[in-house]
Amino acid sequence: MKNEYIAIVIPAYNEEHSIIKVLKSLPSNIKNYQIKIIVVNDGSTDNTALVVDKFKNVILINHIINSGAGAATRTGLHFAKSIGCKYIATMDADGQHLPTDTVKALKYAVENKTDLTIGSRLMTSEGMPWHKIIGNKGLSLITFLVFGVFVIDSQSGLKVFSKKAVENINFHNNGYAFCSEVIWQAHKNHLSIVEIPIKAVYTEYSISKGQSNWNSIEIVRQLVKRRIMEFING
Amino acid sequence: MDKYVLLIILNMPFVIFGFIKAFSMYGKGILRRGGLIARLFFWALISFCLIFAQQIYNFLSNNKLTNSPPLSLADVLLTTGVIFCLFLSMRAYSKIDNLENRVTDLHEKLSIELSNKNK
Repeated sequence: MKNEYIAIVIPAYNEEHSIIKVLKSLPSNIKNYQIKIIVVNDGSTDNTALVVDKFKNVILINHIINSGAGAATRTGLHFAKSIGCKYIATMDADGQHLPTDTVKALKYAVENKTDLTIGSRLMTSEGMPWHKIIGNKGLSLITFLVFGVFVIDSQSGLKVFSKKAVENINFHNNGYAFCSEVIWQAHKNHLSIVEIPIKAVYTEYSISKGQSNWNSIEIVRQLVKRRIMEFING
Repeated sequence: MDKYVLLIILNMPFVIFGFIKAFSMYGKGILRRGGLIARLFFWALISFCLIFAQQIYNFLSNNKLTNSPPLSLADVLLTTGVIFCLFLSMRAYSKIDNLENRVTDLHEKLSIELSNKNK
C-alpha cells in the first residue's frame, strides 16, 4: 500500500440519524491509497458530534458556531490538505450520495488525474423528484449566466478535488452557493472540470434536510453578490 | 459661480480618490487587472458625466428626452450626496467582505486547533 492519503470530507449539521449509516458504509482504502474520513460538525445542536466520536477511524472537527455548508466544506478541505491528502472528496451526510458513487468519483479522479470531478445527479436524473430537477437545472443555468461556466449539476455536494484544486480554489461563500463558486474558481484557474453520473437517493428525510427551491433565491442572491464583490475587490 | 463648475469641484475629490485607491490596490496586489479596469471604467464614467453634465442635459432637453428644469444648487448638493454615498458604500462593502473572510478564516483555524487539542 502507498503511504499516501485520500480524504472524504463530510460536512454535517444535525445529522445524528443518518450519519452512522454513511460512515459505516465508507471503505478504508481505494487503489492503494488510505482513506481519511473527516467529519466537520457545523455546530450541530443534536448528538452528531457524540455519534461521530464513537468511530475511531474518523477525524472529527467541531465548528464552534454554525457557519453553513460552504464554511464546513472549506474547513474540511483545508484540514485534509494540511495532512497531505492527494485527493479530497466531499459528500453529504444525509445519505443522499451512495458510498459506491463516492468511490467511483474518487477512482475516476485518481485514474484520470482530474482537478475537479463532479458527481452529477442530473445526467440521468435517476431517483430525483421533478421539483428538485427543475430547481437544480435552474441553478446550473444561473451559474452559467453569472459566471460563464456551464456544468449540468452545479449544486452537487459530491465532488472530488485534487490537491492542486484545493490550493487554487479560494471560495468565500459560507452557504450553499459555494457549490457554484467552486466551479467558477476552478474555471478561472484553468483547472480541469469533469462530470460523472451518480444516483441521488432521496428519502423523506433527505428531502426535508436538503435545499428547497425557495433557498434557490438566496443562492442566486449570494452568487450575484459574489460577482459584485469580484467587480469591487477584483 | 456656475453650478456645473461647482458640481465638478465638489465631486472631483471623490473621483480622484477613487482612481488613486484603484491604482494603489493594484500596486499592492489586492486588485487584479480585471478589477482595476472595472474600477477605472466606473470612475471614468462618473467623471465624464460630471464634466459633460451641461452638454448631456442640453442634449436630452433638445431631443425632448427629459422635461426636468436646469440644474439648481439643491441638485448639485443632492448629486454630491449621491456620489459620496456611492463612494462610501463601495468602501464599506469592500471592508465588510474582507472582515467576513478574516472572521471565517479565524473560526476555521480555531475549530481545527480546538479539535486537535481535544483528541
